[in-house]
Amino acid sequence: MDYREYEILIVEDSPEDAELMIISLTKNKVANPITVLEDGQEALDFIFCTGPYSERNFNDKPKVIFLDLKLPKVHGLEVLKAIKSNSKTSEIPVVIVTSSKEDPDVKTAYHYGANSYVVKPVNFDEFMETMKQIGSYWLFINERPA
Amino acid sequence: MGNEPNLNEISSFIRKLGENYFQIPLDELSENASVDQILDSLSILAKNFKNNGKNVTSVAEKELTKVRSTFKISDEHKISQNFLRLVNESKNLENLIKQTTDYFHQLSGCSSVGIRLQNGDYFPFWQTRGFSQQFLMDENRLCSVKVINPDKEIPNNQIGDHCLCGSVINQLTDNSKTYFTKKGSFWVNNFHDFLDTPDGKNSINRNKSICSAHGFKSIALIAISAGHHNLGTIHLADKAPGRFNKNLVEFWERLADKFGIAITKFKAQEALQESEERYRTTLDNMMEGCQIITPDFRYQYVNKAVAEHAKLPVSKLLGKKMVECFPGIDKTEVYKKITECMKDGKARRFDNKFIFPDGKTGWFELSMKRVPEGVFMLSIDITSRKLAEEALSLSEDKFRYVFDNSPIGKSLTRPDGTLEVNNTFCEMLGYSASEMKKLTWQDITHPDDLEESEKQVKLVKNGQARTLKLTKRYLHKNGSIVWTSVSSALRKDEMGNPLYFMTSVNDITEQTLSKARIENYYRQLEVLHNIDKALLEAMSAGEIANFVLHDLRELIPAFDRISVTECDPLTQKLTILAVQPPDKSKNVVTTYPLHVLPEYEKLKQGETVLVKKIQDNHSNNIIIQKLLEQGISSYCVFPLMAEKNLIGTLNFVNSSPIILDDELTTLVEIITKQMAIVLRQNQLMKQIRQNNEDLESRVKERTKALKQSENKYRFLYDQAPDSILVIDAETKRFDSFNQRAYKDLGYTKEEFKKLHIHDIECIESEDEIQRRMKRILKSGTDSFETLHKHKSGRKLNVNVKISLIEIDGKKYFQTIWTNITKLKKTEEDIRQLNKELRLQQEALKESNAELESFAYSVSHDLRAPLRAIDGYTKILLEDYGPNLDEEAHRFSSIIRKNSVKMGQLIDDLLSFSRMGRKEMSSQKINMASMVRSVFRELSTTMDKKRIRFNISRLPNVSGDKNMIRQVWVNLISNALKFSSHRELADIHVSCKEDDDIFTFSIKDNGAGFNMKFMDNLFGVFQRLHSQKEFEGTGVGLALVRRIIHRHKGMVYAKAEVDKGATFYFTLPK
Repeated sequence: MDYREYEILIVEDSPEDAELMIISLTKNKVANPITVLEDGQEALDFIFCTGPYSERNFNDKPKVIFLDLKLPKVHGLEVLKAIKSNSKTSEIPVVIVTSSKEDPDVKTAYHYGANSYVVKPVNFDEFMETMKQIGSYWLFINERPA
Repeated sequence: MGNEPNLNEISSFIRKLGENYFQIPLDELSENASVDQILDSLSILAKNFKNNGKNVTSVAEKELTKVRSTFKISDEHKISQNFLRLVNESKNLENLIKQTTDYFHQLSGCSSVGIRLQNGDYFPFWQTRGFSQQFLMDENRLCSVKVINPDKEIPNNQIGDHCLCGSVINQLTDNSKTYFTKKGSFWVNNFHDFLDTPDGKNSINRNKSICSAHGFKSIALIAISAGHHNLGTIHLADKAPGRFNKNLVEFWERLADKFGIAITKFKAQEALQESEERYRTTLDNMMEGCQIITPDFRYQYVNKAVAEHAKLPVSKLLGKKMVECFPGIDKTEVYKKITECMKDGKARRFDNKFIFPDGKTGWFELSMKRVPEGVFMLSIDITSRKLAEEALSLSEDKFRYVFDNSPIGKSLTRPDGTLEVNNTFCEMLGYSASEMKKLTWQDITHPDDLEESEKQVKLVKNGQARTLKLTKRYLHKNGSIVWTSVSSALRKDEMGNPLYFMTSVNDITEQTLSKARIENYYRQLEVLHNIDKALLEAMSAGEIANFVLHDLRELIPAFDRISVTECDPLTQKLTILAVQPPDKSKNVVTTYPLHVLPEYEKLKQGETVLVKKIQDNHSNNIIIQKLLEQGISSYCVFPLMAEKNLIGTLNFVNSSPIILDDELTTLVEIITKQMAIVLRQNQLMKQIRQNNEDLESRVKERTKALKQSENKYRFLYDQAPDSILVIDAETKRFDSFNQRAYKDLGYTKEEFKKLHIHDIECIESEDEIQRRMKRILKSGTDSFETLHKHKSGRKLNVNVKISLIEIDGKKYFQTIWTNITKLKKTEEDIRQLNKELRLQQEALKESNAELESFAYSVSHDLRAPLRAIDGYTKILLEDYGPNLDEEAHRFSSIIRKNSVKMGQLIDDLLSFSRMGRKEMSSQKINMASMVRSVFRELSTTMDKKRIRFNISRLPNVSGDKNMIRQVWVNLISNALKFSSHRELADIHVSCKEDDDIFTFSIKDNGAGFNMKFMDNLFGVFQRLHSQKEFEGTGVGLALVRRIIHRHKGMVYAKAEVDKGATFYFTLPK
């Protein structure tokens, strides 16, 4: 698999939300390849090269992961915890993109090491603006360790 | 050089001279003859034919001079080198001068050469070659310093008056004369000719020229100088004339300069060596050990003393490491100190104990100092001093030990009477060593023995007796007498003045007293027997006291007076029962108030009071006053105790201090005990008689009173709120009971009387009741809850208390019970209610949890579709906009607007739900500033012009800051919203304070509402206005109510349509 296919990883169970995120990013001149994963288990398999993704090269790491919290099978916070507690993956920026404004979620996410926490606005114009900003920040502005 | 003479020409000239004028063939003067060969030839000519014609000689002289000057100068460089080599090879100054003299002799070719050098005030010849002894003696005598160096200044024209050597040495040469050089040397080629000149004549007019007398013709006196200082002269003399010329003399002067430098150098070196030698000798021979230790701890220098200290020869120490010489020294203090000294460079001085390899001990006072070579150490052997000190301290210790530990009391008594005593003496008299230091021997001597002691001391002091020996009494700290046998000797100083008495004290109290004791014992027995007799004969207290005192006085005659008093605590009176010897004065007072007894409090505790000397400040006490009047200055009061009460006293009074010894104390103790018993017995007898009389009359009164009391108790007994039942412990039958007992259970008195306890007990079986009774017989009490059976069969809850009582030796169970049926029922009700409440609480918790998860789902799941609706509609509009007509566009925007509104609704609902669950924190809130800041946030600049926002004084409250802020946000935004149609909006925030609550209000002049709908106002999603009128979700006020309720407050509102509304909320203080 060509690593370029997943510079951006979106973990989102709602296909509509996923599509809207992709549209938002694309419309905002983000050309980096995007991969969408639909549930928490798939996200873990993909990132840690297990199950259906056991053939994947573990060293090809995404530039940023947009992670929803309310995910089928494995909850987003568990996925976050797994990524951040493994020294080989902890450097990957994880941006929580969710509908939840629940206080405990925000606190727990930061406790586990989330790099950002963004609430998806209902209003699409705001949503586009939000995606534009986090996309450009994590893909163009932010510097990662070599 | 062109004008330099050719040696070959000279050779041929000399050869011709020899052949033609002297007929001497000079064959060796062939071509290339050496200078020496030429010189030799010339000497031959000169020696053999000195009388041969003036012409020849003068020609030869000229030639010779020419030749000499020529070769010397031409070889000067080489000569200098040779001379320097000579200097370098010289070992010392003397050697240098010797070598130099030889060299100069050879170099000059003169028959005689001498070197004079300064030695103190003189310039004697140091080395000479070719001068006769006579010449040297003459010359030395002439040139003594006195002659050549007069104090007065010598005028220039008289220079010749003095010896020429003196002129040269003293640098008194006249440069204008041809025979003096500029540098102060003298030379002549023919001294005879010179003496004929006026100058020459002048110079010898007093002294014959010694040079001339010894036949020297060519003479040069070359000054040896170092700087401006003249060191001496080189004497070059030859009997042949014409040996010198100016060049040659200057050459010699240069050589002399070099010589002068060499001399100076050697002199300095020798001075240095000498001084070093001197120091080293001093160090070597010093009494103190001197050593230098190098940084690697080797002995670089040690003097003889060190070797002596070290008990090793110098050769075994030098260059060796310290540890090689003294294994283990590297572990010692001194080694450590040396190491430290090397590091810090600080000088130190200390005493050091040194253990030699042979095990002997040495003491050294060491001073050390860092020097370039390492550490310089000066050591002084102080072993003998230290040993002496140790020995001294040892002997002192020994003496001290013997003194301190002697089983005999020892004392050093100074002339002023102060003492230094040993432990035995201290123990003997019961004082501590420090207490003894403050006492004199007079203080501790028994007053009766003082006179005799002083007499004896005087005898010894006056020398009439050598030692003192006596039996005397000392006073123990506790006042008792210590009998001692004392022997003492006086130590005097060299002048015969007394230093101290050395006294030995032997305690012989035991021996002395044992005899007296046996006698006393019998007398005591007799007294005690008499007291017993008095008791048996039942005499009055006064008689007993008199009786006892009479005997006691025989036993202890030492006191002026003895008395016995009786104390009556009831009447607070002190009665004198007896006095021995009897008081013969008139108006004897025998009764006093009790409190005049001295130290009454102490006596009451059973303590003996002893006053050795009455102080005047007691004089307000009537008894003390009286004693003082009678010349009594000491007294002792023994309490007579009966059952811990003071019932009387035994008193001793005396004009001199009373001393209580062990014996007296014991005796008095026995007597007082006995007397106390007797007195008490007497008192009791008196009381019994009195009581018997009282009793009869009292019994009558008592019987009457009892009857009354009995009735009173019976009434209380029957009417008691508790049932009382007394059960015979043996027969288990009811013995007695009160009304409450049978009435409560529905029986009559007669019926109840026949019942057994198991007839009324519901829970316990008959066996169980028996067991309980057995238990109570052991433990005495019991209490428990049970059920009692009413006659009707109804059961009563009772709380029972049983206690075992004994009346006239018979045992009973006193059983008291309380009817607690009602109480029990109430308890049961409460329990039931609690249970229900708990269930409700659990249900509520569950529903709360459900609500929480519901809210969470709403948050996620309802927002996602909304975002999709809005998002896709937007994309539809953007991407397919051109294909849609105006109506489609309108519909699309309606879809978007509604989806956003629903999103808002969901958010509000969520925050409402969250507000109910969130944990509250309590902080202090500045309400006024909170209201102002909320208003600033919510109002636009436009608004502010239109709105009159007014805040009255608001109190500070405590509550959850975020929540209360939310309240103000909602209330103020409502006020703003509903007054937005007004041209001038009027909003007023104020607060009313009551006893325990604050009531905050916000009033606006906006749309208001109909009070009919008041109930709907605070419900969720309840709106009183259409969206067209005022936008809103209907959650704001519900949220306000929820927050205020959580703060234990209330919310309400007053309004009128179109007139505005006022919202109130309260917060507890």
